[in-house]
Amino acid sequence: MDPSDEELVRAFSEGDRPAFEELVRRHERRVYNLALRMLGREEDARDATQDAFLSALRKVSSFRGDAAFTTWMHRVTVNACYDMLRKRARGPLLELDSELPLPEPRAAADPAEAAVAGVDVRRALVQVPEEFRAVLVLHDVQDMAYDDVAAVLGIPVGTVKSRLHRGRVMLARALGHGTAWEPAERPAPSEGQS
Amino acid sequence: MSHPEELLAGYVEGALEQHERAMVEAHLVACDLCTEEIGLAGRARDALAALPEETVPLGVTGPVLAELQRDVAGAPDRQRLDLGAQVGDGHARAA
Repeated sequence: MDPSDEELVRAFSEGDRPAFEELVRRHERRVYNLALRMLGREEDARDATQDAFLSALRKVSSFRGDAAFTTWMHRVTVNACYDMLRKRARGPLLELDSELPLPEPRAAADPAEAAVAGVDVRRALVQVPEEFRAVLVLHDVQDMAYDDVAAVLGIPVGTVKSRLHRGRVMLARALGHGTAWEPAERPAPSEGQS
Repeated sequence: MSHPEELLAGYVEGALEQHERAMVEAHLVACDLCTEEIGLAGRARDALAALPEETVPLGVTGPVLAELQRDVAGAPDRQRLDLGAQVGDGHARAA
């Protein structure tokens, strides 16, 4: 059986260098995608990913195992993203794939337009204030549970829920959406399950 | 009117308990603002769910692994490891 992340951290702290390499391998995809959605620009996401892992390398001895390593690593990554956003605050505005035409501000029903619509979402996402964006990315993009998002960001679960709703509304407005949305088929209430 | 802010995200996800859902639905009957927001939030959630997961560009973590070699090499109380020729250039990132 593969060692758990926490076992790898322990092995690394005892001098096993490849254990940290394995942690990087396991987590780089989620770290990079979190950074990409937080920052909107590939170049910044690459830098933030490196910063996050370098920071993790320096601080891993302070990881006590009272949270899952994944939660801890996400926190380190979000902090790296916030640092990047502060650094960038005085720099040029976001330049997203400027060769792509600006799509109509409507979700593309045609799958052929889906990629363009994706760029539209990326553009809209970086317009959402960062404390709301972080909740959107962790929950709606990375599928983290409310409790885990709360632990990553150090805020109460109730705040996660209200920021999630507010953030979604802001994102939809940034996308220029109206209200014509049909709720997806909701799972039946837990009758006959569990 | 106070709005059930903390329940609306769960409502959009279909993740509420039955009594919570009933509470939200009773509110929505009387609240156009929340009704509109529920529609917007659902669209946003769908749009985010449709974002593809991107692959990590090659070489992104290379400088991290190089730093890892330096870190271990520079830690006197750590177990001696054969770093061989793999000791990386910690300044690679500036290149």
